[in-house]
Amino acid sequence: MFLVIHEGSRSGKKMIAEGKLIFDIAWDDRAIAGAKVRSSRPVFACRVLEGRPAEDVLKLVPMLFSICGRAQSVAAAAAVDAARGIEADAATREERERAIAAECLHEYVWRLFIDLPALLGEAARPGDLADLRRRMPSEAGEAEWLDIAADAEELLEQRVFGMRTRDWLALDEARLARWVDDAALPAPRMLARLRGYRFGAPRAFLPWLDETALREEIAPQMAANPTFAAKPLWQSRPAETGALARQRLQPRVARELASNRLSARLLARLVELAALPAQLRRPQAIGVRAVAAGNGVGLAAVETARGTLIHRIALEGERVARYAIVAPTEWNFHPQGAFARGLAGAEARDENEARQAATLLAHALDPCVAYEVRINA
Amino acid sequence: MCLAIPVKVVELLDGDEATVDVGGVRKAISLALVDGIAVGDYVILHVGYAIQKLDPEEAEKTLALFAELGENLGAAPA
Repeated sequence: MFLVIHEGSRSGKKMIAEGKLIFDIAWDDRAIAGAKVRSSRPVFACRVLEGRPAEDVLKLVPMLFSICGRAQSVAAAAAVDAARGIEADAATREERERAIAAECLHEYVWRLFIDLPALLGEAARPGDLADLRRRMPSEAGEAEWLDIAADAEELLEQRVFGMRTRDWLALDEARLARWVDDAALPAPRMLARLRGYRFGAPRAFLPWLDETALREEIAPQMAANPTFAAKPLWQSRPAETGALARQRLQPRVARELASNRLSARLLARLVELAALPAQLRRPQAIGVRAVAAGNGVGLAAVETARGTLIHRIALEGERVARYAIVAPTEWNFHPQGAFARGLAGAEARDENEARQAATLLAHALDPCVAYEVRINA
Repeated sequence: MCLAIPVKVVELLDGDEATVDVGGVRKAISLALVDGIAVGDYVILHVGYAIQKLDPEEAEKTLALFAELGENLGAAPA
């Protein structure tokens, strides 16, 4: 794995960088002929945990990771519990579900209020996201969570759905069609525009990783193959993870996916977003699974906005012998994955259209680092 | 999985923006998502936005951890 390093500004020592994705797009005057994905992401950075006491993991993981910091912390805690043979109590499990739901809300609102408007030439609304962030303290008790849920519900009603989230989730096919036609709201307007693009057909989805799948499919791969974290495969094939993978069987998402690929990914996010205030109020056990996989080995899978996040820890006594993380970005931006395959054949009359196609599909698959698009005519 | 590397704010700019020092390189970022940032503060960045303010002690510890990582380069296991 190639890493981007630069000189630390103060110490003069080499410092690790967060890396990025580079997309080399081959364009032949009419269409995109192919896309190469290169990653400089330091996917093995979590090896800094190796050799340390197990309790350090819980302190260091939140320092190491930023944007999905809560999901990373929850995955680490659940994997450590599993490796030690401990089952978290009900209050802890509830707290973990709320933490990842709150982070998911934050990420979906970011995509919807900042990133997607920028791609479609709409006005970005960072102020709305800033408001939401102010209302989400890092530590919250039961009463605060209920307040956060109420604030989130209000924001989504006013700025996204134009109605209560449960009413939106209950819309029948005809009423949902009318909602999409409502050009006064940004979310349906952007959904309607994404319907105009024909590329991005999904190939294979990462299935829901339940305890059996974690134990029998993922654990042996991660134990045997050190590079699984960089280029993960599901049953020998790249697989897409994210809201669409989770919601593809939901009736309205399935209908959308039958004809529209990019918009189905946005609709799947909206379906999950609409359910998040209720998840913050009364968390269901839907986001976290953990299993023991042999002596001192624990795996956890956590659902994040970008997809399934997997942590594996191997303990020797109370010390960390091995630590590995498989992040959603490595599934979706696998060199033969959903991004690379989904762009091949996309119509593009000029370089700008080719760039727009690459950027829209990247947004739909949501990498957690910056990316650079290069068009090679 | 994106690393939370702290960067130092070196100058406040108009329009809720600031200049930060990223490993010796200066870069303009947005402060639209965080409140109360002053010159000298450390922040965590994500795609051009400051998303978190760190107290100096926290930033020191985090930078030390990343420095350690830098020396080992997070190599793939053998």
